[in-house]
Amino acid sequence: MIEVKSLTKSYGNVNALDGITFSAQKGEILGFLGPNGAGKTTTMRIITCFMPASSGKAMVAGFDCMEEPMEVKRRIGYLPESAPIYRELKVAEFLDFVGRVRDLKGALKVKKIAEVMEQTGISDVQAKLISTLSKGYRQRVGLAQALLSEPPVLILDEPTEGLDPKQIVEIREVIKNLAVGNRTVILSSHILPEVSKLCDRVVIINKGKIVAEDSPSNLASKNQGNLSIELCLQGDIDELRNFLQSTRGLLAVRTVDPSHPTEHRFVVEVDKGIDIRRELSTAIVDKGFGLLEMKLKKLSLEDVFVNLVTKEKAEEEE
Amino acid sequence: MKNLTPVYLKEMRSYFSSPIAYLAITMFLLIASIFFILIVKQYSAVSFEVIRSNFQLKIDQLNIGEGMLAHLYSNIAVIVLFMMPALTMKSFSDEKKTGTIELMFTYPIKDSELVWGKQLAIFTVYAVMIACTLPYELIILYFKPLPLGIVFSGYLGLLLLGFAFISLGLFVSSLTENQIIAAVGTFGALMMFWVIGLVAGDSTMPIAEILRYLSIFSHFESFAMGVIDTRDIVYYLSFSLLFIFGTLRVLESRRYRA
Repeated sequence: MIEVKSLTKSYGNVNALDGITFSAQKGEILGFLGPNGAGKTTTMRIITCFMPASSGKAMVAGFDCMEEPMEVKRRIGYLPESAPIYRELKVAEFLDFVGRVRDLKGALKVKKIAEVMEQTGISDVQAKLISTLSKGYRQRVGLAQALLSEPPVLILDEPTEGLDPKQIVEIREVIKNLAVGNRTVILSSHILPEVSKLCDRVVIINKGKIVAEDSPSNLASKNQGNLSIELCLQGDIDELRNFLQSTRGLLAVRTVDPSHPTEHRFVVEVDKGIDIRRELSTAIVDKGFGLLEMKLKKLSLEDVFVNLVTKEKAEEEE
Repeated sequence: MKNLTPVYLKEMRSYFSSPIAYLAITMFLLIASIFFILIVKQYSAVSFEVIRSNFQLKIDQLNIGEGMLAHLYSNIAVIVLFMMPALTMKSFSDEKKTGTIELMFTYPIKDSELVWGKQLAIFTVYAVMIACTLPYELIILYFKPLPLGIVFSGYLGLLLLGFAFISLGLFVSSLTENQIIAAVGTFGALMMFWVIGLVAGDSTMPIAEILRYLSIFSHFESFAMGVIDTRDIVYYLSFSLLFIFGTLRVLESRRYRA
């Protein structure tokens, strides 16, 4: 559904994104995790056609964000960071505007607006001016405008930011129910438990790069202390994968960025106690594959998290 | 242009649910009314002089068109110049500041729909503001028959002039996220288009001709006198289209300013 390939974005000399590649399937909730300034919002803004990428490609439902932005925009519901909405309008007026822009008409529009207000719990405040609403309610109105046209792709930038704990639970419940059917949801957050509760898959971004990408359960198992080794191998990709999967001592095998024709990158996980690098390299060479790189990954995910969290703390203290 | 109407309606709601439109219209009417009173006083003073001179002197100034309406419309045009920045300053600046521009740019709305929606919404507010001056003509009508042709051309001129001012205001507003900068910038630019006409004066040098042609009020004078000249209509329309084009280019620039 969403296909992002080696996306870069630079503001002057600062590289906000440095070659981001990932994809999201139908019916999947994908979480973006990372500290402030990691590039989450920038990535989302490129996918939603708000800004162009410096290089690379983003595709939504088969449409290129640069080439056919209108088609992309019709298929995306977007909640921008901190939910900007028109303060001088009433909730119902604002949703009516969004309905019109989203091609809803007459009775259908009225019905959808009522539904989405029910879903996000803002029916009680529909006649109020948005400027008089609390942050939590404004966030819900922002969510409501994104959901209104039932788009196949939802992009939510920190949907629970600024909410109280009770509201967070409610909004999470709403989000969890969103992925039914063929809908793809991407949401960003810097709260680890939130992402692990909601998402099928998590992409961790730091300094414009993807540092990890996995399911929350794998993240947890990694945190229990497995090591990973990054390999760059030469040979037929299916043969390589079969070989690695059948090798003893390797717990999990992942393919990274399969875009290169002959060189393939894999990340394999091994038990912390055993260093199998020597056996592994011999086995690879014996099989006749080319071993171009082998690197013990120094950062475990736990380290990554600690790294991220301490960085955020340092920023807050400044 | 399918999404022009929703954008237009949203803008109209924004204007009339915030105090800005009411405030601008009230202040405008207050000042315009003071000028109207002064013009009536001036006219009655001239009338007395004419009577005292036994209909020998200044009789040409008793013409309703030249004696009152032309002054009235010229004064209104100047007041519009002062009020317009208040109407246009928030259009794009506020959306940039509050981040709602991110919604606009990610909804399936074309840039042209966004710009024209805003332009026409402000123009509607402006038309309402100008329509509020119609009672002045009714007051004159109570005493004397009105030259309807001058009334028509005067208001046509005001509408064209306003449309041009709005397009310039929108353009400046699209450049900044600060409403004050948008207002001051618009005001300064409008003043400049006024002042270059004064600089040119009556000089016959080619440069003076050009400056006089560019001046935004020199094209209004004929409308105020009841003359509808295609050259003036073309001036205001091309002025407007130039700045609407500029605004569209500013919005478009986000796509290649990587």
